[in-house]
Amino acid sequence: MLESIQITKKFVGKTAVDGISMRLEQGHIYALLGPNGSGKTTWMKMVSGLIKPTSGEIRYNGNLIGIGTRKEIAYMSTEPYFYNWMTVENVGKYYQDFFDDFSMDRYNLMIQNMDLTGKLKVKSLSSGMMAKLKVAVTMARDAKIYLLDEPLNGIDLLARDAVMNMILQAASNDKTLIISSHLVEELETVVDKAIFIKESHLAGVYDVEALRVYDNISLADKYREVFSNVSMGGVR
Amino acid sequence: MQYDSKLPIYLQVINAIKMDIINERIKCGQKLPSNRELAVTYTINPNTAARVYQELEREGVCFTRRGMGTFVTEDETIIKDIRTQMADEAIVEFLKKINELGISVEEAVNMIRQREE
Amino acid sequence: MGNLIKYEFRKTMALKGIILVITAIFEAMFLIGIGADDEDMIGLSVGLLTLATFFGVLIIGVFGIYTLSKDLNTKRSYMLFMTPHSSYSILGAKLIENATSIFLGGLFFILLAVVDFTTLAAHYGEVDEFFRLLRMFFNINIETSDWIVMGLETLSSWTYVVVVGFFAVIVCASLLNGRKFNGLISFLIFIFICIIFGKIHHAFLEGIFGDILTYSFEAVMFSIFYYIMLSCIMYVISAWIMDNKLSV
Repeated sequence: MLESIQITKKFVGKTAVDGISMRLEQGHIYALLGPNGSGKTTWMKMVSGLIKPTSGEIRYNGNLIGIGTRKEIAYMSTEPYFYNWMTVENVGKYYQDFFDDFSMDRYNLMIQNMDLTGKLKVKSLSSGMMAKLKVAVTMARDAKIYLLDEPLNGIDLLARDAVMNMILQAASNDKTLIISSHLVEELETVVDKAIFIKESHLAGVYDVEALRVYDNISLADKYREVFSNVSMGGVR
Repeated sequence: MQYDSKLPIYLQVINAIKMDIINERIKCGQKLPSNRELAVTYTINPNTAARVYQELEREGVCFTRRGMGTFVTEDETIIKDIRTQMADEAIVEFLKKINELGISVEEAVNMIRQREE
Repeated sequence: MGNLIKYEFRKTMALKGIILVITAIFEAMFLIGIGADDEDMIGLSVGLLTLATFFGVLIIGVFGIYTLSKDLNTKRSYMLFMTPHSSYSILGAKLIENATSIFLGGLFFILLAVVDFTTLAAHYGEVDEFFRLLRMFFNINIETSDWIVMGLETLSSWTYVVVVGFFAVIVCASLLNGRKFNGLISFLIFIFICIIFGKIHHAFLEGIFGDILTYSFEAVMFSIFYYIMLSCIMYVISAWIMDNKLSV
């Protein structure tokens, strides 16, 4: 279980995350939704231990986030972060060198399915190929929590299908997946829970199927309701 | 598959699978994909996939063999039943729309006959 | 830790390759000069080789600081800080890489110099004369152990300078995260610390040994101890700041 307790991060002149408290259970895929700049990335980076909170704390199975939790929490950033000199093969080797839960076989299989080859230089990859590589190397870990920051950003339809495929393959009862996006529709069928972050604050956690069963509204409708001040009326 | 994002996803997938069974794209007694495979094929959440099988099992459309997976029922009467049931749902839907347009059932029947000719 | 060190070496590989290629070009000039009995060419190449030695070792150290700065201030930082390693290991790996590179680099250039001078002397058939001149030039008879201690002092002082550089970069990245003039402020912190600890060093030497200009074995040993102590203290403080304050 992942607990975010009154977590706050202040940067110079800006509060990026403001007192977010919530509990995330295993066996679910969470969508982390909110407009750009609402604090999704900062929250994720605090869970992965890359950013130190200003106040509050995050615990995974009772343990404070730190070096130990990095073994079980896999983070994928939106921006490419690999070393310039690396090839697709080197990226896999790097993860194998540093993460005990990394499976080279699974990585190679995914790379193959993605039409990537080991000798390709990461510098020369298109944004779609880079997105696939990042997801592949992250999902080839057998982590307990996966934090994927905008995995579908800037990639074409086919690459999206491929990426979603990899994500769904890795999902299971003992894992928690957290996927951020500012495009709600893309995640609508895949996630079962949605966390809304509005202007650095938590604006609600919803069961996505329950929204459809009981309220007869889609996740996108709920998103509009939470983030837009304009009433949609009967117009869709 | 295209979904209506306002309707429960599990119901839409259930209907798609039932349609496949009725059209014999999936045969009686055939093994169905695993939870994960179903999730990947339909791009749905694995929990939704599990729910799909739960519901189908509850309706008797499929059954689980321990350690072997989920199979379509071999009982053809059940398949006939779901066919009737789905036809029924289609008619209810149709009548609702016709009613909204202010057309009586007789008128509608005539219109259908005319179209068929 | 082994893997961290491995990738630190990988990061500096290209630079070392460039230094090696440039040195090889100068060395080739030197050998051609000897072959052609071209004294101007020999003179020029010896000058260039001396520059390569000086700047080669200097650049390896400075590049270590530059690499750390990139590893803290760019997206590349995730590569290090997503791994389950403490900052003590991450920084330690960088220090080990840098000290080893400086040591091996220094050793390489010394060996090259010995080989080149021997070649030069052998070519002109005056080996004994050459070594006599060399001794005269240094004007003293220095024991081998003294050479080793002086080498160690150079190595420890240079490692210390690099640690101060690391510290300055880490302080800026952790406490002034993302502000303007990050690089300039790092540099000022670096200079400030170097001056302060330099003055303290001099004060110690004067206080304990009196004259700081004359060579004394004890004074050099003290300097080595001083640099190593300071390096350790700065390393621990730096890693602590990284573990507790750094956001990448």
